[in-house]
Amino acid sequence: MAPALCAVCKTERALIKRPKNHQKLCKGCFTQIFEDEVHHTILSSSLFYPGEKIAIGASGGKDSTVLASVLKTLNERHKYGLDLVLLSIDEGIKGYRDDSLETVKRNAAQYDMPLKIVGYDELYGWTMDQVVETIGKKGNCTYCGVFRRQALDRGAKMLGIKHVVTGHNADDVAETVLMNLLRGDLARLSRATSIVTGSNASDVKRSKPLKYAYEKEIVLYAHHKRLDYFSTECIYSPEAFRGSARTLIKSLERVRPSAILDVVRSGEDMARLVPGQNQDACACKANTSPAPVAAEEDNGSGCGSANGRSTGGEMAAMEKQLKENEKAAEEKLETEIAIPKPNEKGSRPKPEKESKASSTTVPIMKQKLGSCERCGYMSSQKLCQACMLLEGLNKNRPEIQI
Amino acid sequence: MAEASQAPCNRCQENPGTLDLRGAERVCPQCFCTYVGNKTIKRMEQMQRETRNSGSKLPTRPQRYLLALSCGGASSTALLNLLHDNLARQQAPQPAKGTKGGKGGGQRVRFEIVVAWVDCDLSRPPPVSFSADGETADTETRPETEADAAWQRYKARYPTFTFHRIPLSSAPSLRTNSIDWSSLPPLKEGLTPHEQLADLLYTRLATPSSRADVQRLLVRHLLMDAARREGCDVLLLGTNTTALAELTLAETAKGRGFSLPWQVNDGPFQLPSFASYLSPSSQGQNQDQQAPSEDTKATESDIANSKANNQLSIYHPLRELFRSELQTYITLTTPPLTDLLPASITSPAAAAVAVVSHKDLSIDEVMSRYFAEVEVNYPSVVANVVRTTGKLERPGAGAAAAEEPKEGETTTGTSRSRQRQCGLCGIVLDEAGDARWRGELGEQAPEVEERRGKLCYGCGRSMNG
Repeated sequence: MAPALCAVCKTERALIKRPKNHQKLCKGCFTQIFEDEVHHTILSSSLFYPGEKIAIGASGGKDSTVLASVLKTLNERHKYGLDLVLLSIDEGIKGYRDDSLETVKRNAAQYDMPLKIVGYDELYGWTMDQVVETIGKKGNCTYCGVFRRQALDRGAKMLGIKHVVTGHNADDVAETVLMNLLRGDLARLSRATSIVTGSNASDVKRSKPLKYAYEKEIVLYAHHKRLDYFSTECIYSPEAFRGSARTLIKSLERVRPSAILDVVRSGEDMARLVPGQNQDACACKANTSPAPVAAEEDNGSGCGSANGRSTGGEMAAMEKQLKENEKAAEEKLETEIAIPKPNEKGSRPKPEKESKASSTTVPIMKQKLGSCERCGYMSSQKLCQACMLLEGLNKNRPEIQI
Repeated sequence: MAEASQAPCNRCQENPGTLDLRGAERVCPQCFCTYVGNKTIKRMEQMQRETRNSGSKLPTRPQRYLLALSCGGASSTALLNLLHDNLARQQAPQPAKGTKGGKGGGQRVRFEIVVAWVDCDLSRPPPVSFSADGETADTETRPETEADAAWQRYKARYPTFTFHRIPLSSAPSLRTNSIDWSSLPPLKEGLTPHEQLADLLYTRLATPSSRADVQRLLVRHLLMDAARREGCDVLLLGTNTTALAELTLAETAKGRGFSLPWQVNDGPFQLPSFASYLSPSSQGQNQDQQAPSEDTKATESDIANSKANNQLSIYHPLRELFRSELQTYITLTTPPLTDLLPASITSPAAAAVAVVSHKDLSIDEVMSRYFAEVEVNYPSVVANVVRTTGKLERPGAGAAAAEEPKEGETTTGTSRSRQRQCGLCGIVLDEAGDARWRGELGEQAPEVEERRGKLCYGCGRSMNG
């Protein structure tokens, strides 16, 4: 059998089977197409404006390293006129973050970009190692996730930057869609799919230029471009829901490669069907950029590093909670929260235990954004999530203060 | 179960509690069946309230339901039996002594049941005398299969119900024209309808996912069509909680997030009506084999009526029961419903799921495997998925009302016809969403001839992917 030729240039030997659609490509055409697709995403979503200062949320992992590399390439090739800066968060996890930060430092030199590192200890007075020491491994991802989102914002503010790009890829978004379906969180589901997040209430907007890029293609790109990245997973336990969703996404990808993008598409569409959302099919009027949505918790809680190593703790906890709710509903211990339907119901005595499933529509609360009383970060509550978590942590540590 | 039998049933306190009920109680078989029955009948009552209000039908007439039976499926078999029992209770002259719950006997009969089974076996042609209306006159002409035998057992066990067996291959001759065949790969000329369908599913569609998906949609159309033809008010599907959760995630994975509320939630469905597939030349040939005979309930004027209001209510009365509960239920009735099922389904060999290559799995199968596991450990999570989908609004339904009339449109008729529906699944097309998505991904619109029908994103994926 003669070696297959690249489906695009028809001259080079095809060395890569594109994970996204199984197209056979040569190395050069693959990197070109990968970059072109990211370029297209950037243009079609009007992500940047000329002269904009952009902070790249850099962890040293494959996604953010590829993002930095691609953005540098595209910025030069297409003359975006962007001022690119690497922004890293030091969670304070020994044996994980200290090593990956070394990678970021090398990247900064390789890509000739300035690097800013912000530590949890200086922002919150707690390193993740200390948090885990206090609360244990269970649930620590919640802290880390909440802290990191704010940390990126604060770091950007320190640099006078109003736009942070992150390396979230299509697999991450698809995973988040399934995860939020599994936990029944429509509000998050509808936020997670937007390419741009961060509302007007916040000074810093977020975007995910790799939103449509497959994780496998990111790995391939990093490999063929010989990028220097750090591939150890976080040492602390991941969330069960995300792990479960990730396993599912991987199975789906094996059965039908387009499934990842199809989940993303479904997620975007479902976001429009959440009661109270704009049902207009086209949120972006031709050329205007998509309306940014609130960035708060836009990617669920946690860092997405779970590779199916799930402990089940979170799912079990939710199962328990749901069971209790069901029991309460059966026994009528709770007040009915379903909105009574307008049509007549009362002519004859109702069977007790009115079912409150499917047909009754409960409006999804839309969050109103204000700002945290303590730190000024945007929040729908009096205190932002980080300050709430900190309050709990600090109660257990009255002596030590920063 | 020896040690469990010591504790009495949590509910009746009489019989030994041998069965676990939702991890909260131990109950006896009798109370377990009552629980399953109550969960179902409650949904039925809810449905009756909703459909009676919206319909213009006279309230005194018993409602007519088309019950979709999957011949050998635990859930739909359970639903059939539950409705049969419920009906028997309504018809009983006097409440039987000792009946719990007080209800039953001497009631007005509230509904009639027509049972329909879409036979998806394309490996051999249907019986010669097969019509779309279903009665098989002679099975002598061909050897009886397990499914045939099971079908006969169903009919024998429920002699008061009307049964229709509908071959999958009658899909191209649907009276309701709810499928736009011009949006699908053309059916091969010169074949019997049966061979045409087999060719479409097994030759034209490349993957098990597409095949399973298209087949599921065709079955749905055949059921909706049968419901219209039989003058039924509601189509009842035996989909349980677990299956609805699977459906939710499977359709999400197929890119059909937009149509989830139509597929998973209960309520009216607007049947599309496209130009008939049957061209004059092929019509004669097809009519011989499967045009519905003229003595069916629906007359031409009925069809005209139905076009004016081409709506059908679709409900899932088992939406609050898990698959495992229904599987338990069918073993507990007297005689057990498992007697009805084909032997191959109930045999232990079938229970041991063969490990197959991922290549041969469909998306639907990936989801059932996933949820089989989740159902055991986290049943409430499964139920929560279904509840969550229930909160999504139906696109089109609201949009049609909210949409302002444009270009001098005044009548609701024209604005309704402007809402184009997918040629295969029949859901309102999300054309603006499709255009935006292609814009984001930098894809070209698929080159479709002008006269060809349009498909939604998910159906397009099944045709091409």
